[in-house]
Amino acid sequence: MPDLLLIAGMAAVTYIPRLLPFLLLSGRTLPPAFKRFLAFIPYTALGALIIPGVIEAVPGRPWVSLAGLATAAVIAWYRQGLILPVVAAAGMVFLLLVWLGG
Amino acid sequence: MNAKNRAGQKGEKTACSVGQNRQEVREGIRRGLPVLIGYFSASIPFGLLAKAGGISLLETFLFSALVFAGASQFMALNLLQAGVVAGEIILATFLVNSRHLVMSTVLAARLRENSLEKVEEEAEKTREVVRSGRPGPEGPEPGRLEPGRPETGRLKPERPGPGTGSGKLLTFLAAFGVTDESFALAVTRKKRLTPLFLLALEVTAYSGWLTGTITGFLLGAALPAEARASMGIALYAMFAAILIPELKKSRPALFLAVGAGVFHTLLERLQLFSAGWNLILAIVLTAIAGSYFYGRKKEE
Repeated sequence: MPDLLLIAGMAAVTYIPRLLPFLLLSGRTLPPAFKRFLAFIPYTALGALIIPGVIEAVPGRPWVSLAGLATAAVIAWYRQGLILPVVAAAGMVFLLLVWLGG
Repeated sequence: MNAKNRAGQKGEKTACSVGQNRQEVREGIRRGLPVLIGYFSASIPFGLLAKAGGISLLETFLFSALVFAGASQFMALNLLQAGVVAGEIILATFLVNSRHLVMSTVLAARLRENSLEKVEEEAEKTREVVRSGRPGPEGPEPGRLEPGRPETGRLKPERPGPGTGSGKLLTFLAAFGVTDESFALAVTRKKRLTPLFLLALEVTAYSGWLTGTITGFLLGAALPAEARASMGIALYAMFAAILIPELKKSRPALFLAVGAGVFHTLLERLQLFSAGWNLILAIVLTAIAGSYFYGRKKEE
């Protein structure tokens, strides 16, 4: 049984790193090099969030995971919006798992 | 999306910041909807596993409500099962979640960014668009819920400082909601980041996390195995759907994303750092390499 102390402790050590930069960075101007660096962050963040983790998205089924990701990617290529790709990817994975069995 | 039209027409007359605030909140919620779906799916297994591990509904809920960090919550369940003591679980949680330090730094910088010149630039673009009566040079931007041009023009005059409604409280709340996903959605916003937008996005995501946790606890066992297994893809699908439109527009984006992914894979193989820091190192170092490379290219 975890006690509330554990949860409180986890909450504290999770919140502090999230909060500190907001407090420390307020009221400073940023050098242009840093701004350029910031502009690249979205792309590198998305790349690193997807790769290699997606392989394990469906445990033990890398190809099913990739099929799900590809479904989302293809839809996102032709249409805007994020919800359809998310739902379709989950649906694709579900169907493949049913089809492949267990 | 017809939101932009509505926003553009409405905005003109609404006296200043109330209308803007509402607009920011609305856009934040829209931006957060896919995360809500993703989080709902991703947290169902958490509720399910917590219940299987003999944790009460209240405690399960508190995990999600107070910690709100997926990876570390699943990890805590594993460690509890293995009989690891609370102190060590907390330490491990800190190691996993300290990566948010970097994400918060980036977000704080984006909030802070006194982008007067950028806003000015976009306002000029808007005027041009209005004059020529057609959409901007790139057309509507796919994957982004707010193309941003109609509003920025009217945002400009009243907003020289770092954002409307930026109270201390707002910052404290917004800091709580920083996750990999809210971070990814916030930094890919082309318009200026405001605390209200960020908070609305996060609250939307948070509600998905909480409802999913409870649903998983109460109903998870009733789901077929295939349905449970298919939920893990949701957040990756979302990341891909954010990334694809960017890749269509720029080649550097492709190199940066793939580069970061390859680097991340390498770091995971090497196992020198914790998983959370592998992610951060991949993001930050690839961005530094990119800004060095592309920055120099531009100067030539």
